[in-house]
Amino acid sequence: MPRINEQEILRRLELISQIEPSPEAIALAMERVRRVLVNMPGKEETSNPIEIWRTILKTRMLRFAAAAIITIFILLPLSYGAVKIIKTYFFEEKPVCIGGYTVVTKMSLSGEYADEDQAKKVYDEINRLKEAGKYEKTLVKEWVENGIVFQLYKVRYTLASGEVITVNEGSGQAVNDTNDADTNRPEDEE
Amino acid sequence: MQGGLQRLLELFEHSGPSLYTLLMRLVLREDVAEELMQELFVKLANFKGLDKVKNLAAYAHRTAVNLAFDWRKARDKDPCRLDDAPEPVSGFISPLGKLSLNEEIEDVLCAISQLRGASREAFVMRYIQQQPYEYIAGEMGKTPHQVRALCFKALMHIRYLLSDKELRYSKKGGHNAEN
Repeated sequence: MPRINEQEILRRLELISQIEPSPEAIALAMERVRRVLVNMPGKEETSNPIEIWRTILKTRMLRFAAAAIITIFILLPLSYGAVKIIKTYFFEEKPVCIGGYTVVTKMSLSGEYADEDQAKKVYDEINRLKEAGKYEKTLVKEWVENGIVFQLYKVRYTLASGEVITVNEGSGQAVNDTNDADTNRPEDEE
Repeated sequence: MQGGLQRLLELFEHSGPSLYTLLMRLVLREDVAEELMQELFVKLANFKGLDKVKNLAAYAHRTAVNLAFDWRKARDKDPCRLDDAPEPVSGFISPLGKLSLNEEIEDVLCAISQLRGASREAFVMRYIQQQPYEYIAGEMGKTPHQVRALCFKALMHIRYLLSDKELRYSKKGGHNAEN
C-alpha cells in the first residue's frame, strides 16, 4: 500500500516545473551550441563500418541477432562442410596376441569417401597389398613398455588407382618371447 | 543533408531555450544542462536520417529526455567522477545549488528515470513541462485519452517507487540510514 500520497508527488513535480534557468545562462548555452553547429564539418555520406558495428554492439538485442546471423550463415555451413568433406570409417582388425594378451585393434580410414562401401573397398585393397607384401615400410619409433618391444612404422600402399595411402602401423613383441608374437596394428591413414 | 541542417538550425533557434530549460529541470545543474544541450545538437546534426524525421521538435525533445536520464543513471553508477564534470561556459554560480540538494526532488527525478519509453515521455511533457494533454497527444501521435492513461499509470508507478523507498528508509531507522 503506497504511503506517499499523490498530492505530495504533484507538489514536488510542480517544484521541478518551476525551475527556470537565468536568461544569461540560456544565452550563453545557446551561443556555445550555435558556435559548434556553425563550425561543424560536412557530414560524410559514406557509411563507416566501425560505426555500424558500434551501433550493433550497443544494443543487446542487436548483439544477439548479429551472433545468430553469424552462427546460422557462417559457422553452421562451415562445420557442416567440414563434416561432409572429411569422413572417418573404422574397420576391425583380426585379433592378435602380444606377450600373452589378445589385442583387438581397429583401423581408421579418413578422407573424402562417398560412403562406407567406398572406404571398405580401399580397406580391402590395402589388406590385399599387405598380404602380397606390396608396400614400403619405414620404422618411425621403437620403445619398450611392460616387457614388450613396440615398433611404430609408416607403411605406404599404392592402390590400383595410383593413389598412395600412408598408414601408421605398430607391432609388438615380448622381450622374452621367442615365438615372435608379432602383429600389425594399423592406426590411421594420413 | 543541407535541408536537414537548415531544419536543425531553425529548431535550435526556435526550441533551443525550451530544450535547455527542460534539460536543466531534469539534471538540476546548469553546467551539465549546457553540456547535454551541446551533445544533443551534435547528435542530431550527425544523425543520417535527419531528413526523414517528420516531427523534428518531438524527436529532439525525446532525445533530450533520454540524454538527461542517461546522465542521471551514469552519475548514480559512478557518483565520484568529479573530474569529468565539464567547466561551464557561463560560469555562473547556480541558483539551483540549494535546490539540487533537495532530496525530495532528486527522489522524484530518480523515480521518473525508471519509467520507460512513451510513458516517461508523456509524463515529462505533462508534469515537468506542464503541457496540456492535447498538445502531448499531437506530439506523440496518440489520443489525449491515451496520454492521460499513460500519465496516470506513470504517476502510480512513481508513487509506488517513492513509497517503497520511504518504507525502506523507515525500516532502517532513519531517512539517512541508506546514505
